[in-house]
This record gives sequence, C-alpha cells and structure tokens, in this order.
Amino acid sequence: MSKTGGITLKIFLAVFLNDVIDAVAQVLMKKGIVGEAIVSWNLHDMGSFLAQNATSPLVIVGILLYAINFFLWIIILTKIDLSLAVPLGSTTYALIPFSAVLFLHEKISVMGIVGILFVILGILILSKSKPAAPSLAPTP
Amino acid sequence: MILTILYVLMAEIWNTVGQLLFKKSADALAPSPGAGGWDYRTFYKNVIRRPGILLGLSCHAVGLIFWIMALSQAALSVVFVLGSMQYILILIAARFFLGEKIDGMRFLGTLFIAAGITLVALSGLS
Repeated sequence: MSKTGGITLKIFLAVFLNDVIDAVAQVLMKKGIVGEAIVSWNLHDMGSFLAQNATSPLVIVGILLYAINFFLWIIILTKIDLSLAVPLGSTTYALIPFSAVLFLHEKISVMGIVGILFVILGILILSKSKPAAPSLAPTP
Repeated sequence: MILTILYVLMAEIWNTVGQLLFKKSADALAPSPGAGGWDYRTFYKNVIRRPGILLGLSCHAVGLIFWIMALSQAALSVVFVLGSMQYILILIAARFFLGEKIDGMRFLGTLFIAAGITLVALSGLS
C-alpha cells in the first residue's frame, strides 16, 4: 500500500517549479543548439551533431537543469502518489500557454480556452482525491 | 498510422515502467516519519546508487528512442494527442503495481487534464 499522501499547496508549487525548470531547460537547449540540423539518421551525422553541441554553454546549462529537475521529481515522489504526480506534472502544457495569453497578449482560440479550463478543473478535482488511506500504514 | 500508434504506445509503456521504478525507489529512500527529518546529502547519494533509479532512467532512455521514432513518422500534434494515453496507463499501473487507490475524483481529474491538454495541443497554442 502506498504511504504517500494527497496534493497540498506546497507540493503543487514543487510540481509547478519542476515544470517551469523543464520549460526553461528546453528553451535554453533550443537556443543553444548550433550547426547543421540532423537531416539523415546515420551515426556519423548524429555523432558530429553531438560533438558540435556538447560544448555549447546553453546546452550544458539545460542538461544541468534537467539533472536538478530529476532529483526534484524523486523528492516529489516521496511525498505524493504517482497517480497524482503525473497528471499534475503535465498541467504546464496548458498553464504556460495560458500565461502567454495573459501576459504576452497572444491570441487564443475557443478550443484553447476550453482546454485550459478543463485543465484547471482537472487540478481542482484531483485535489479533492483522497490519498491512499495513510491510516492503513503502521503508525509508530 | 498503426506504426505511429505502436511506437507511441511502446514509448509510453517504457516511460510508465520507468516511473513505477522511480516511485518504488522514492518510497524506499524517503526517511521514515520518526527518523528526524531529511538528510538531503545522504538522500542524493542513495538516489544515484539505487538500482531501481538507474533502471528507471534506462527505461526512459528506451522510451525516448520510441518517442523519436514516432515523431519521425507523424506530425507532433498527432503524437501529442496519442500521448495522452500515458495518463490512463499511469492510473492502471499505479493501481495494480503500487496499490494506489484510484477514486472517482482521481479518475475524473486525470480525464479532464488529459482532455484539456489535448485540446490546447490541437488549438496550436503550445
């Protein structure tokens, strides 16, 4: 039986931070990539692509952020059920576009608005889910 | 199309196994409630030494290969929409392999988040 609990504000913020770091890392790596894109799937092309980019500072920072994020994710998993952490962990796919609309005044379609509302509703519903009865675990 | 679905499914199965291994390791590594709080240095050391963690990372590496194979076949939005199967897989796996209690709220909440992300992806915003 799982011994971890439900969603608290602290855990939500930790998961959110995890997602934001992920997004930043991806942008940095995208910006840091230099040289030719891989057009054919042969080892020589991929090798020279990796060699060109292994020393790019932004790529290195991106990889470091990924490493930090990995440890943060393991810490999150010590505190919350996997079946809560995973859906919660993907909410930035909707929340970051939402902030782009809010702060950068990007255009959004009706479908996008409905999607964002669904995600927010989903988080609220998830937060009502009871953790796997910690009373069942032996308490000292 | 069938090949794309197959690749995405394979990627998701490997990722789910990886997450199960992460979760099992995290539960084992978490200090027990009476143990006087967190010693993060020891925790990090134990994390990188834990076989389950290393195995979980390898599963994600295999999953990534299948994900890239799927991406090389179909448009990102298609792969993304297929990708929402991951949530259902995680729910099932957490129920049967971790003993997590999937109540109605958890099922419904996950469904809403998966549907919402799919809509946002289809609207081309993210």
